[in-house]
Amino acid sequence: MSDFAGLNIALSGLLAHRRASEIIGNNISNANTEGYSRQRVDLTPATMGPVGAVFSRSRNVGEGVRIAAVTRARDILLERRHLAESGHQAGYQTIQEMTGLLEGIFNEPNDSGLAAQLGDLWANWHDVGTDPTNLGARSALLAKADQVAATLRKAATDLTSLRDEVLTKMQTMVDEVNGKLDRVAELNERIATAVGSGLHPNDLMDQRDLLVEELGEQIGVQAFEGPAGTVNLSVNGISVVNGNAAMHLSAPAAVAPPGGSPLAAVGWNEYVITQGPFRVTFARGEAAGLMDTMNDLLPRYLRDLNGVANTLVTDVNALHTTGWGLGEGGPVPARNFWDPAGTTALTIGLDAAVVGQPSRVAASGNPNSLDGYIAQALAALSSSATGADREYQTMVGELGVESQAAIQRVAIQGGIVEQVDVERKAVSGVSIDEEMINLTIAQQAYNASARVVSVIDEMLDTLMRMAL
Amino acid sequence: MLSSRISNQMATQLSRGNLTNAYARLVDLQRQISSGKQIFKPSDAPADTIRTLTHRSDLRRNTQYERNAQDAEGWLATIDNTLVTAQTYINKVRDLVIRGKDGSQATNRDVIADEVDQLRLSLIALGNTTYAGRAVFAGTGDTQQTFNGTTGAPLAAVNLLEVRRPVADGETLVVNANNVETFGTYIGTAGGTYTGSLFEVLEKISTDLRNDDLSATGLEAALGALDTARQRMGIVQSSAGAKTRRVDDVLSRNLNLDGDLRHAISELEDVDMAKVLLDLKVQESNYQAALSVTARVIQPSLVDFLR
Repeated sequence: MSDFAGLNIALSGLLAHRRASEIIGNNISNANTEGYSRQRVDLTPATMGPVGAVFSRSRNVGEGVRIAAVTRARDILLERRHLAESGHQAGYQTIQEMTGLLEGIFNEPNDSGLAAQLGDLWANWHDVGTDPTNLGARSALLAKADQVAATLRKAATDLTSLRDEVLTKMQTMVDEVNGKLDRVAELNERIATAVGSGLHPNDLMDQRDLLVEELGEQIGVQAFEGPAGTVNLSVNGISVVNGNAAMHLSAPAAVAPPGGSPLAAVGWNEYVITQGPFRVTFARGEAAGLMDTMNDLLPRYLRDLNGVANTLVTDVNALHTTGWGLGEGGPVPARNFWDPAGTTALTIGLDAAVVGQPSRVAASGNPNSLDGYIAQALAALSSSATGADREYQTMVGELGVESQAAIQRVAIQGGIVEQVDVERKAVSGVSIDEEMINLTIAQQAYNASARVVSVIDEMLDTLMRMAL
Repeated sequence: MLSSRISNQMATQLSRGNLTNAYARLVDLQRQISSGKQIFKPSDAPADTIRTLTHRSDLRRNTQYERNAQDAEGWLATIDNTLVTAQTYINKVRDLVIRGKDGSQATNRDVIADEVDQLRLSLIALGNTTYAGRAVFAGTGDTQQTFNGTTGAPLAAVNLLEVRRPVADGETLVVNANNVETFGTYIGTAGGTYTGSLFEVLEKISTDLRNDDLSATGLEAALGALDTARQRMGIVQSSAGAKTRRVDDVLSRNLNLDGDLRHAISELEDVDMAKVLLDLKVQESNYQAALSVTARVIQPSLVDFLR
């Protein structure tokens, strides 16, 4: 033990506490950084070890202080729970957004929505039935019918373009996700190298964990701890990142739906995402919401809307073909009102035979007659329990229930995510008060170590003067 | 309860979340008040949305039924008025026939016959009465008039079909009277006949008067034939009267239903102002309290107190 050993001990205190105050400064600087985990300096007494060198003579005093590690404050259980819950939340939010858009497309209840237009259409049939000679009433009927058809076509077109937008969004997202998977793998490698060299790559780990969190919200990844500080990721059982190797998802491709699928009937394809030989299905994350929208939500409502159009066309034509137009005699002209080829919401339209020909609207049930029986029978369809009105109302009701459920689900899940997030941040977040206290402690310890230096200096000074 | 350790991010996140929620509730209430509606989209109240849609379509149908009933009322009133006038004409003819049968009037019979001819033409004109451009006794025929103006023969386009008006769900009224049930069957015998339509009966009376035919098959049979014609008309007229009362019932029922439906729709869609305003007041003070508390909580830290 040299006479200067005391200076070394004081020096180790000075260094350790300066390092501690640096770490505290780093924590305070990152108080607002998303994904940052506060860091702690673990101090440990420096000793010469249990077995001293041959000529050393331990005085059992200790050799000062040493920094054992700089660790991240994180609760792995809470991190994983947050990953899962925020993934669910992202999926629910997507569905909520989509059902909200659907509600906007149908725009009910409203004085100008399809329900109101259908009501007006039946009222127009009443007018024609009451006064079959009135060409004005007949023209008004044709105009209203044209408007109903246009509204149906518009809604169907909106659904189709919404599907296209969702598909584009999904493709963009898959590209982005692939990039992130690559970066996670790359960070894994750097972390493993650093850990292997005995370093503490906390910042790299924070970066990687932030990426993992984003991936959790986007595609609902699950994370598993790997060796040497790495993390492995999988989506619903299919591995996407394994150590330093990342797999890629391929953008959604339309596949022919399995035979008998109702989707084929309305011109929709099922979309899938593949990863190598596997078909990836998403259980959560925004991807789950988008894929559900493309494969279930939009096709379902388009199918319902097609049902409404089909009922309207079939019901009206069935009666219209049995009637006579204004001033018509002889055998039944058997004229269609709606184009019988257009039985979907996207193709519905007036039959070419009646377009611009109000007198050809078959209002009468007898030749050369002004009875208006057919028009009256058509008007009575408005209260039919199986009519287009009822079908449409039911559809709007279903959409309302579905959308409301989505909103409530998001609210409930939002509460859960918030709770987990708060607990997580309670562990890993920076508290400025706490840092200030620690900073004060570090400062005092530094000052005290410096004082030790000056005391030892004085002692040595005393010793030197003795020698004079 | 919050965890034992409170970090700054966590505190701001919680406050921000609470403030956002409070503000969202405030905005929702303001929207309800400014629009007066509480249902904007189906998800606001799915069951109520369906009920609103059904009520609205019922209301529209009800309005249409009201228009149909008003049209029916017009037809029935026209028929009623026409037949009242027609019966006074028949009574006049009846008086003329009685005068004509009197032996002292032998020299005046041609004058009486002229008068009968004029009344006959007036009755034919009544038979051609129209309502809103439709001949009311022509069935559903596509024609502006029912009878030939001089012979009284029904035109070729005239038929016996019913003119119907739907006045409620499943309730249809026949609003016309056909020419046969009102005026009798036209036979077409030259010089008229007592077994034919009213106009033929009048023609025969005129012929008999001019020929001084007072026999049992002549003027003697005229009164019986006139009474039959008047009875026939009376039946049609009272049927029209009964239907008019039915239409009145329908219209008042319609009016009640209209009020009920509007009330129901308003109950479902419209905002209860008193309640919402109270909610708004409460929410406003909640929000202000939240704001001031947040401002106090977030501001200070130990930094302010250390040298």
